[in-house]
Amino acid sequence: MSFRIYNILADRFGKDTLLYFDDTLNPYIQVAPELIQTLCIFMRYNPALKFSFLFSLCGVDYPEKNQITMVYHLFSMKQKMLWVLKTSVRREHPELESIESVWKTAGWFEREIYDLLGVKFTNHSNMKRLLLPDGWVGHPLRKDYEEPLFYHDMETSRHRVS
Amino acid sequence: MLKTELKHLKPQVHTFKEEMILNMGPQHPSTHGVLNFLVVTDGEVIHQALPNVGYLHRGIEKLAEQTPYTTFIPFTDRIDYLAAMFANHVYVLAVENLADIEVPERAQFLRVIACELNRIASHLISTGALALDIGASTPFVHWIRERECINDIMESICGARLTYSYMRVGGVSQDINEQIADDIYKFLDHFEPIIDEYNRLISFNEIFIKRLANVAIISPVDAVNFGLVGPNLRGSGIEMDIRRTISYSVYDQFDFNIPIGKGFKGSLGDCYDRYFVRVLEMTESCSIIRQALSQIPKGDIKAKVKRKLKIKENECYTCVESARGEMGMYLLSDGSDRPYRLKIKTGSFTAMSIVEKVSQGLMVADLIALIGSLDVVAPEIDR
Repeated sequence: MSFRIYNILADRFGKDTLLYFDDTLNPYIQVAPELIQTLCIFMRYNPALKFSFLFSLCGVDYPEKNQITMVYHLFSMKQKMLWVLKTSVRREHPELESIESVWKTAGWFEREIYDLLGVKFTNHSNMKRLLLPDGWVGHPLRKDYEEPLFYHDMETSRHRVS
Repeated sequence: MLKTELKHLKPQVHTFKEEMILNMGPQHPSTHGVLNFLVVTDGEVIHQALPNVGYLHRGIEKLAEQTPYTTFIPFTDRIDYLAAMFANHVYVLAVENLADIEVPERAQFLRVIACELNRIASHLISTGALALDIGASTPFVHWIRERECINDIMESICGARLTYSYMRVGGVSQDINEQIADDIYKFLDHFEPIIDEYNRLISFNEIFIKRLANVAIISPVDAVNFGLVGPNLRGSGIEMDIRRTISYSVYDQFDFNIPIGKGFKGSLGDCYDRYFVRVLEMTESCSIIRQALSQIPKGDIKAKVKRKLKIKENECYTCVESARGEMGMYLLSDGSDRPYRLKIKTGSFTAMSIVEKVSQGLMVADLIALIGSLDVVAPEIDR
């Protein structure tokens, strides 16, 4: 089933650009960051695929590989199946094309990723922090994040009462 | 937030002569938790309402990376305090998927019973609070009374009334005995007629219908585009329920309908549709609980799981149909005893993002109806 979909994608984009991994529970496709928007549009609107739902979009930090991987979970009502796309950007000055134009819901997911992992999305309508205050320093979901001891002169650590 | 947001608003603001900028929340009674809206109004008409979330961000995803698999379950209760059972469920399902643990069938039935009871409790709060927000305070008190019965049942099942931590990796913590099963039957016998009574009291009330019908219509296209899930999506007429679409646990053994919006009293996808889908869902949940209680097999309630669980490198996305729609967890393991990354996707998060679009042109009082009908819970947005 998932191989059939991979074949449709490979016919359109070529086998070299799409790396298919099926050693995990949900098989996934890894693509270059430049391709992600085109691929999303294709997967959403192609009549044979119709992945009309974006279930989730998140980022994972890999300091030892020096990259942040974005994981897209798409769902198709027609095929009743989940599909996973991955793309990686470098950890310094990470930038990626926004897919807000494909799924509106990606807008908030991307703001959350920018907030917690520091990946900037280009062509985004409102690229600002979502959960943390605007003046916050650092991106907490990075593996090397250290919590600041003070925020606006307020202590962030909790003293043990003894 | 004010000054920085204004820049973003500018292009549309200048067309209005007397716009006024108001802060709704963070302590507004109808926002259900700490949630702030920046509302730009022209008289009574809302020009734009920008949600400002994050007041309840506790970094649960970061905490997960520092907590062993089996000890993370109490944290999941705090994601959504009105429907804690679903967060329990999706987390243990995710871990079981990765660790390849077979769950005894009795435990799966117990999970379904607990989840459906919790769904009723959550919908009671949701529909009652919606009525309360738009000015009818009696129904809320009635629904709280019914919810108390569920809380009592939950207390006898697992010892907690709200933050259950009932599920364990590989099963559940407690079995139910004859007495508790009888109590659940008694509750259902009492509750099912009450839904009709409630419908007569509020659902078919002329004023209530006028406040909700044809208000804040979300088209099916928008609903999919903005990633709405659960009753909000079904209110727009799309028949998508994770219990049916991606069958998990033992839901494939039960016979139940999926109510969808049909423009019951107005147009498809208005506030009334979203409200009434929830009322109809409560009846379906009652039927599922009855079926589960009658079919429940005997046996173990927990599989043998190592105390210190280590999972080799793998990843999976697991989702369940929570009271607020599809709730998913993306779990990545790296061979240690704690997750490498846990992403929690919740229904309220995506529902909140549509407010900015739908609120344009609404009356101020209708914004309250919109937020109430979307059934957002602030801690679930912020995690």
